[in-house]
Amino acid sequence: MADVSGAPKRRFKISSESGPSDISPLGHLVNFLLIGFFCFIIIVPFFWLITSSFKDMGQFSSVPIQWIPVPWHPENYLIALKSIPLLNYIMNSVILATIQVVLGVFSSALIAYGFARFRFPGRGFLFVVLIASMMLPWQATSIPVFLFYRSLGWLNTFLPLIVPSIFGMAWNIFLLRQFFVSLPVSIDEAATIDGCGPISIWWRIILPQSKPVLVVVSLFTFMWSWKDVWGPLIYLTDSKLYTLPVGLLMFESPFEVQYTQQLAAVVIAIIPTVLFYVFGQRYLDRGITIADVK
Amino acid sequence: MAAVQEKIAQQFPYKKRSQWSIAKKNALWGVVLVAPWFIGYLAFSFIPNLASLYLSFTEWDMFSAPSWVGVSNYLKLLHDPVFLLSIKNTFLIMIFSNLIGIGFGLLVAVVLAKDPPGRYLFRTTLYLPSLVMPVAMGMMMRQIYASGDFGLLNQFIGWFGIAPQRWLTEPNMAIWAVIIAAFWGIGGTMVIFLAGLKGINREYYEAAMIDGASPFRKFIHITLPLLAPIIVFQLLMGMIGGSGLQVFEFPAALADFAGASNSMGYHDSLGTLVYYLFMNGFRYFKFGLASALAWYIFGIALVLGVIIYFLAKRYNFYGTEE
Repeated sequence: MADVSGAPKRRFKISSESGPSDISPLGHLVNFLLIGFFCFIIIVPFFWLITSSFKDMGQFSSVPIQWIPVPWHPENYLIALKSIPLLNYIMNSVILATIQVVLGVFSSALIAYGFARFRFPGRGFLFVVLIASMMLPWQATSIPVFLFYRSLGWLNTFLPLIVPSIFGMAWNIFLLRQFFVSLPVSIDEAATIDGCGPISIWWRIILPQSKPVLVVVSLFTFMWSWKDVWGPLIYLTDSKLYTLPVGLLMFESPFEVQYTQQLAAVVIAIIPTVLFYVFGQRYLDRGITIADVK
Repeated sequence: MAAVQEKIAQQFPYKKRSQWSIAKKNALWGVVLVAPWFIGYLAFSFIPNLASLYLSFTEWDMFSAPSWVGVSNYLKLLHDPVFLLSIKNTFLIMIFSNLIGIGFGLLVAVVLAKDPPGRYLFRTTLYLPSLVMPVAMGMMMRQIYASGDFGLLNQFIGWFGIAPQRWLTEPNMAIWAVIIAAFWGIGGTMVIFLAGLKGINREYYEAAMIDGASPFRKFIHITLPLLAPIIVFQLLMGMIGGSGLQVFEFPAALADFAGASNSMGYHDSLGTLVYYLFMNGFRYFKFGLASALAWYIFGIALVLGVIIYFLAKRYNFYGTEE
């Protein structure tokens, strides 16, 4: 929890070593080869995916493998975009994730403030319930919840996915509460004497001090929403509303669309993740320290 | 002095009362702020759980009224080979995917922490695939596991003289196809272990070096014990999370979810508990049976949760609570 304040800086070394390394050149070579081998195995399928997305079916099923297709078929991408409304799915995913992040983080921050700064009977017990609720599989409750939304007429809208986030997200509340507890109470007290109410203390004092952790929690919420399949899959049946993973999952096995065009669709679906990583990487690194190593 | 106090008491005659009401006000604010979460918890978690407990004792297809059937849904599931296979598959994934993720994740983290040349490129290469959504991974892997000679994996094992396998169309093989793919997620655990390794005091290693300890002994006697809380936490979170008890999308994408909509892969060989819950609840609309299934899942989660609770207490995961 210690090093979360201030702007993230680029670290020049991954490890904590400060002095000269005690590893021999041979040791470095062995490490380099070992990690290189792992990376190679991990990269091969993605390399294959990208080159295959430029193949026609003849090149795709040739034995031995054609690593670089000649001639290449960039039109696969146009056909993929035409037969699967990927851009539409991506838009839906972005809209949904943005709403969930804004509502989910905002409400969680208020609830976490309540847990962190106010004494009330049953607080400890409720916090245990909160932690327990993070561990239980939420799919297990989905049938009654589904029936409930159906009776409200909310199926085929984003409402069942948006409204629960107004009530806070357990994981966000937990992380934010842990951070808020570490902030000094003396500033709150000073503000109280100056006539600040609880809400304006939260808004003017707690939140500004928590910007880095709020960014991290927002990123995690976005990633969770981006990957979520279960919710959109059971509540949305109109393909116009599908999010990206559901759109991919519900995409019928190709008869008119070829495998290679389907792989082009997979490449398009991965691009936002890569962009997300490129822009969010520094905060992701920071978040790992906050979320998992306490 | 006494005069001053008297003056203050005159100016603030309600001081003693207000002391008490500050605490009360404080508690009231806490309740008001936390209430939305608690209402949400009751509405979206607790009450639905009870409702699904009721539904699990009924037979209901949404068109007629639910009829009470006692524990027959639970018994029916115990005699359902697909359910038993789904349990087996879920546990296999729970154990082996997480062992792969933690074992290899720890290995690459320990190596990367030694700052080999090209570490940033390696780190990105290992980490990025773990962020890719499981559905996209599954669609890619489905082609890589393709049977015949042209599937990438079959070509690869062909170089070692192994005959092509039917990865997804051999009943006992398909679940291993899911488990093998856990290798592409090792970056997720790796970054967490890297952060943990960063927190280990260098002096331990220096002391060990003076004592002439080998790198292996340093790992066994310093790194491993100090990382133990993180390892246990990762293992258990993995077991109850998306690569454990809740595993669904990746096998579904491998199984050609949309195309072959009446089975979970070849002879249901890719079935998992949550996948089977989806099939029963939202494909066949057997709400009673699906609710019984949900309670089996819930029961398993509860048992794992209790184990986590005691381990958390032992390793103090959550810092100091009051």
